[in-house]
Amino acid sequence: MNENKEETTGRPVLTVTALNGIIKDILEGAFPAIWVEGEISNFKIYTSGHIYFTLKDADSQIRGVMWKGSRKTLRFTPKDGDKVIITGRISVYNKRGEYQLVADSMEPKGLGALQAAFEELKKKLAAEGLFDQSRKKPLPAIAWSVGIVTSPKGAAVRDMIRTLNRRFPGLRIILNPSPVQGEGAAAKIARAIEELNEYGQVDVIIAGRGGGSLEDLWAFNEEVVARAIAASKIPVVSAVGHEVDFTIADFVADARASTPTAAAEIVAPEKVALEAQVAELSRKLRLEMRNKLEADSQFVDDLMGRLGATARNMVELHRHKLEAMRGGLRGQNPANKVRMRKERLAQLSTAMIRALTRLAGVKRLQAKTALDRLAAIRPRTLITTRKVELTRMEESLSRSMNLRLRNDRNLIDKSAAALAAYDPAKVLDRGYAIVTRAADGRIVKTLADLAPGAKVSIRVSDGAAGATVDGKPKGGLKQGELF
Amino acid sequence: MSEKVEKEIKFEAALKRLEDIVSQLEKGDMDLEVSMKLFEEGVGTVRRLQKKLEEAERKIEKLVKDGGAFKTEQMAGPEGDAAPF
Repeated sequence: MNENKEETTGRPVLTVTALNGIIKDILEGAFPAIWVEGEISNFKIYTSGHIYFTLKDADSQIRGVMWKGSRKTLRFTPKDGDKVIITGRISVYNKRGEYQLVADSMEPKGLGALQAAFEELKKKLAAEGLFDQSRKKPLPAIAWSVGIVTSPKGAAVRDMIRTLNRRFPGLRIILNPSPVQGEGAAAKIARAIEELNEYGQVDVIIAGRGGGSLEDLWAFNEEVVARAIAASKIPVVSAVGHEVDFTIADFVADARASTPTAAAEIVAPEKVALEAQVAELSRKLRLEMRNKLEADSQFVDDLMGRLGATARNMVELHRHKLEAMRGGLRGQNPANKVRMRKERLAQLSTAMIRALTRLAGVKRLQAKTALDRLAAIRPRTLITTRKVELTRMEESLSRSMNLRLRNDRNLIDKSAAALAAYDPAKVLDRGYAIVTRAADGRIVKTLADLAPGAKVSIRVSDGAAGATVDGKPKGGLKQGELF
Repeated sequence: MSEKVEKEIKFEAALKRLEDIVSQLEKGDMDLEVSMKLFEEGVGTVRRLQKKLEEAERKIEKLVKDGGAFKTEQMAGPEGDAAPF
């Protein structure tokens, strides 16, 4: 390129650009496609979208970049400390004379082996039919109690419980804690699912954990967990928080949620919605019944009106007939016949009106009974109504009692006056005397009671004195002559 | 299966029955007496449904093995920050 012979000495001297150009050609030509493993550090995503990082091992490091366009292939979010395998090439940045590793793709180290195991198990279980849609149990429409298999620590359990309680306050939640990563976690998760089945008092099981690396989630890719989920009589929702793909548990589970929170949302009925549904039905129920009663009472009123009209018409009709008859019979001494007809008509009218009244009464009573029952079904209203009634009754009772007392008092006063007027002592005060016969004590009222010489007793206001009748009694005293 | 599941089915069935009752009343071609019976049944059903929704106790339990059988132990709620969550 820019290779010039130095003018004075003739030595071949390179410019920096030329040198870097040569290095670039050599390096890039030598490493067009390589796999490198190492640990990520200084991981940074620039606003441009490119990712810059350093890949290192115990003794060495190399700068690395992943261009924005390659990020699509990333199936996890790398972070500092992650051990990864990078597929890429070496690139030289002329301007700075630096070389770097350009990553075309990146996968967590160990993924290959895990991935192979995953694919193998997936194939095996799929062949057994464990993932078949027909095997999947429907989730309960309303779960009254939820079993949870997860770690008692960490965000997952908190998220699930929070979400369950938000959607259905008071929902029964039964946690069967289990480690969700590390040695033996898979067997413990499987056992926890079995235990909830043995316990039996849950409507649905959520088995899961929060997000993590593929290794962290691995327990949910193990056969023992898959088998436990498949064997569960209670529907199982898998809830493994993961950005990458599915776990085996997701394939076997009766429903799959992408996060613990989402699982809780799938599982928990929304109490508010249920309450609203019941309230709406209740409202409709009352509305319909009221309509029905109103329609019925209107019907009764209509009926009454029509019956009344019919009755009047019939009476009219009979009256006309009667008039006609009376006219026709005039002059033929028809009085008896007319009277008979009249009586018959009166009887009929009375009977008819009685029947109509009875019918109306029955209908009214029916409507009233219905209304009473309607009222009874709303006890608070009824109590209020009854209270008002009671108050009214009390008032009316005390009113009538007062009236009664007043009447009684009047009567007593009057009687007392009357009695006073009849008190014989009063009469004697006014100068009258009571004469009784000494023989038999009878009061002398007429002359016939007085024989000449008979002994009598004369009672006056302050005492009595004996006397003897002398002479012949003389009649003829007229009313009024006394005074 | 479990008594819980039975309860759920009853709730669902009761809800369904309530819907039936309402739609029958909506048709409105029934005798008053029959309507009243249905209405009373409906109100009873509403009460049962509401009671069921209200009776859920807010609790979080932990499954523990007690000899051969299982039982549950009360746990603190997630809102209590002293809880193991």
